[in-house]
Amino acid sequence: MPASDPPSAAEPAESTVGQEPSNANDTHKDAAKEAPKLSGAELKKQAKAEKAARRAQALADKPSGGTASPGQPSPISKGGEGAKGAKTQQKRTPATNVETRNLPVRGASQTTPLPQIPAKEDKTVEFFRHLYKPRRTTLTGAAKEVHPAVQALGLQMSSYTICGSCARLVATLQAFKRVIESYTTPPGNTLTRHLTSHVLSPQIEYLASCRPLSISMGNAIRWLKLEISKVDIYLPDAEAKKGLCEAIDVFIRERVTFADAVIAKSTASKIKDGDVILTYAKSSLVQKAIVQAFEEGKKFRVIVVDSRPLHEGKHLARSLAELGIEVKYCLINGLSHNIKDATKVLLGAHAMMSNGRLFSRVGTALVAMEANGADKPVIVLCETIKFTERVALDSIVHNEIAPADELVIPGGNLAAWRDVKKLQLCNPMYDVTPAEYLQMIVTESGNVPPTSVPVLHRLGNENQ
Amino acid sequence: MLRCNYRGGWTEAAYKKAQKNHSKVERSGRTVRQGSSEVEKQKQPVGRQSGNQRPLSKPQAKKPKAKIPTRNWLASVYITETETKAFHLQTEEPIFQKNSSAGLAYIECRPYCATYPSKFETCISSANGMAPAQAGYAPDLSAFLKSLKVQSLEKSIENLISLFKRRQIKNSRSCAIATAHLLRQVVAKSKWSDLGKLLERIQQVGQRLMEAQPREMVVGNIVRRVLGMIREEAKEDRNEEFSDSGSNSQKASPRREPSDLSLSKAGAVPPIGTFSPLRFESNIGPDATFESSSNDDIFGKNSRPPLITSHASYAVLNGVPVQQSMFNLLSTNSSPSSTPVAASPVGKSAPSSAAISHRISTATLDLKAEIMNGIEEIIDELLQVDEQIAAYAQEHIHSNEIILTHSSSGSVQKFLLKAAEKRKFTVIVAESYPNDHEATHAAVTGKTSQDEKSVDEMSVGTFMKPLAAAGITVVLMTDATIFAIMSRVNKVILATHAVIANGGLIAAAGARIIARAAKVHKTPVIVVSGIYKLSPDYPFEFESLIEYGDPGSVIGYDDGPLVDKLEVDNPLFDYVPPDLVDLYITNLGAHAPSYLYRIVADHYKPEDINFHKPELQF
Repeated sequence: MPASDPPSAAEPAESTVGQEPSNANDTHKDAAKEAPKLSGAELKKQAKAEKAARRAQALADKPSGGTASPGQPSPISKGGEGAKGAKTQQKRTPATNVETRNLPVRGASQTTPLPQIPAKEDKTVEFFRHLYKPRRTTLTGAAKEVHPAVQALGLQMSSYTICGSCARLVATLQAFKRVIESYTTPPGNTLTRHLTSHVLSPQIEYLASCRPLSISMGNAIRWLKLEISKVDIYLPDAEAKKGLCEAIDVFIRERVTFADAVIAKSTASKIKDGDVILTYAKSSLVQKAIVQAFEEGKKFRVIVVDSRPLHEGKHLARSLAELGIEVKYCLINGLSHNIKDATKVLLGAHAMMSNGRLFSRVGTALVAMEANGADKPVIVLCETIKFTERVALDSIVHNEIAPADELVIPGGNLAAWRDVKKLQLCNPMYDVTPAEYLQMIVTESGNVPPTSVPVLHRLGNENQ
Repeated sequence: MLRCNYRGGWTEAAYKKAQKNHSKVERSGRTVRQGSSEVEKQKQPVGRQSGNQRPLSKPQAKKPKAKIPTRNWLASVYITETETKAFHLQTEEPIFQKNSSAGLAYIECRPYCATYPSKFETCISSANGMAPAQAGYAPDLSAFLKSLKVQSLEKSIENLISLFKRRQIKNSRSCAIATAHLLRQVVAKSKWSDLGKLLERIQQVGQRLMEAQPREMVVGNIVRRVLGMIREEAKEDRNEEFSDSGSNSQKASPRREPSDLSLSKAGAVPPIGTFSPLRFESNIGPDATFESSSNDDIFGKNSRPPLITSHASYAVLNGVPVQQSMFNLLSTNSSPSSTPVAASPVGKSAPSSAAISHRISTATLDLKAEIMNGIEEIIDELLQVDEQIAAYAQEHIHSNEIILTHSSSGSVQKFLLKAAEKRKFTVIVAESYPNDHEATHAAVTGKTSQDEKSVDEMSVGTFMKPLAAAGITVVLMTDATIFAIMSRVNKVILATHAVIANGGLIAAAGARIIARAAKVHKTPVIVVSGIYKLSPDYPFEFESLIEYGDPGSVIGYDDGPLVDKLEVDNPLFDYVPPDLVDLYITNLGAHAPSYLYRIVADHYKPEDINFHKPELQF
């Protein structure tokens, strides 16, 4: 594998970029309505791609400061993206290709220096290879359409300043609100037709390039697009924008703020005096629930289990300890010792899969497994906005691979790991917890077993 | 003080908890191994608040004191009292450290050692009065082995005890090698006229070593191995004597001398005729329940009554018709009593004293040489064990497998390297943060850690190359990702710290979740371990085997305000129950976990199993 990559990259970038649309094609095949249009657009795309490649060549001649992560020799095309990325692409009309081509151009400019370092090794782990994506950490190369608020948000996301499914969702919607506020429909267009494809799409694409969109973000964006498409075309701009902003506010309030409050209250009622609550990493919902229970005057202890490299649990432990809650903190190596003391396990979620499995921060499955082994109830706190119709059986098919360099401890032995041949570091972000480890899922629409996730998801969608 | 509040702060609650543990120790009497005998002796925990304001005990200024940097969160106080009860800060349970002569007691201070090795060096040298060792690096195994040659025996023992206590030798293989070398010195240097004295001496030294690091079961194993080997030698030796004086032996009187040796206590009471299964069971002691429950197949086959000395069993084994009186005679002989004659039957009609003394001297000399040889063999085994285990590697690993391993271990690394000679596969290494991750990273990137190096220098100079250099793809991942990738893993290979007789093991913290995740995914778990790690101990409460490490590696000191409010714990080891293990690969071959008790029975003599706990011997 690693050997076969450089030659293909060594060719003029045209080939790689040229492949890209057909790649995208594959993922779009299911979208039946796109099919006829695509075949027509194919030639056009091809031409555009060639033009882009030429431009890339020109760019490559200049000494460009490669912002790309060095371990990504293969051109990561948009087509390789998961269904989420594909979804957002689907809505794109061919006319927008000029803007979106920017990204592949960037990708091409990254790959062109490769032949100069022929021995560059592929540092990606084989069975996660389909998941690797370069992560943008600077603004260079960002499309000019990206709104400053979104630009800032993207960087905050890639640096984990805004981390967590719901936080990212709310921040994204707030940023999009500002995008909508500053939007004016160009003459000869309608807001309904123009906003989504010409304005929102580049924003979304930019955000996805900073860090893959969370499932809840995907849900919210789908909702927003639906809302935009429902706007009456004869409505004046100002009113339409006002209406959209209000709708966003209502959405955040209903699906997140109130939902959180309901879940926290419901979970707090499950915490009894003398309980020992074990939780993993940091979930804002778990934190809210624990704080609520504490404010209700319940006496209980909390054990926070944490792991490298993010150490999110430390923030949770800190904020709880500052409130005066008795907190014990340990890393995942102390899990099997501490699970015995626990009476309940509260877990946050990144998403709930339709087959009842929990998709959450990597390590959650271990906690649930140990809790199950020790016969401790596992309760998942999850807003319905995080439910998805997708299913997962293992953590490999769908995941997010964070940059491997996050694992390097400054000054440690790993500092020069890229120089060690055949050594790879792998840093997946999520894992999938089997449904049989979960006893209950607390949502704003009630407490359900994992088997009811698809039902709730369907009900939620029908309401829309 | 920041450091006292660190682990629950030694507040009232923590103290109560500790008291609870304390009483638990007293109740069960033997769950916590570290010197439960001392519990009765001293009820008052002296150093309870050592972390707080009050020092462990007034430094009495008899010995030069080392200046202790205040940053160290564990109080480290040198005292001159002979016996001191210290409080184990990290496990919240009292440990009792007995220190007979030099008087160097302290609370475990590994982080300190890591940070200020050179200062520690001075502490040791000044406290023990030994020649100042090479300044600049912490004393380790090789330094100890070098010092062994020049130091007096007692100083070496003290030195090793303090090295154990400070966890400056902590790798189980290093501990085993150090113990074996020290015991060899004990045999070589101490004056002993008969085997009883020697056994007693070794038991005494062994007990002190084990108390220094009660959770390092390997130390006890090596001591038991040496004891068993000496008994074996004695048995053979005496058998020769026996054949010489066989005609006389019929006359032997069943006289027994009261022995000061705990092991002979049991043997001394009943005449052999009254030997019964019941008796047998009680002799073995509750610690070895697995054995007593299966005594038929352990001892039935060779019909070796465990508490009768090995000599007797030997006679039986060889089909020598054993008469009642002769049996008694033999057991009298072999029971290491105060009788100076190791060889000649006690009741023999008096030969000339000159002949006896001559015989003693030659016999002792021979025996000494043989025993030294025996210990050398054990040391050789320790040095070769990894290669022996690795010899089985190619049977177990096939091409294109994905193998998950945890932490860094020389045994596992050699095992995988051996397999890599023939096959290509992928190894996923879980880094076992926060305790062994440095070593794991070093192993993965090819920088051998200090500890490993010292061991390797001693062996044939095999420099271990990193796995990646052998053409294997190595993937380093965090412990948390184990469940996520387990579905792709074909085999899990674990290293171990100690194996206990029920087939469970003590391994680096995190091993248990790995083993369980493997179980959930039906992935086979293979444990690679030398026989020397196999311990006859079988505690009911596995928690007592778990050592806790420096919480500072979980939350650093730079998080000062946070540290004050949190309880942080950092276990170093995990207990992995036998049902999570599929296979053990030892230097003797591959075994099912359920078979391990049998190997225990092969390697340790039942009378040695509880040698360090006289109260458990009847």
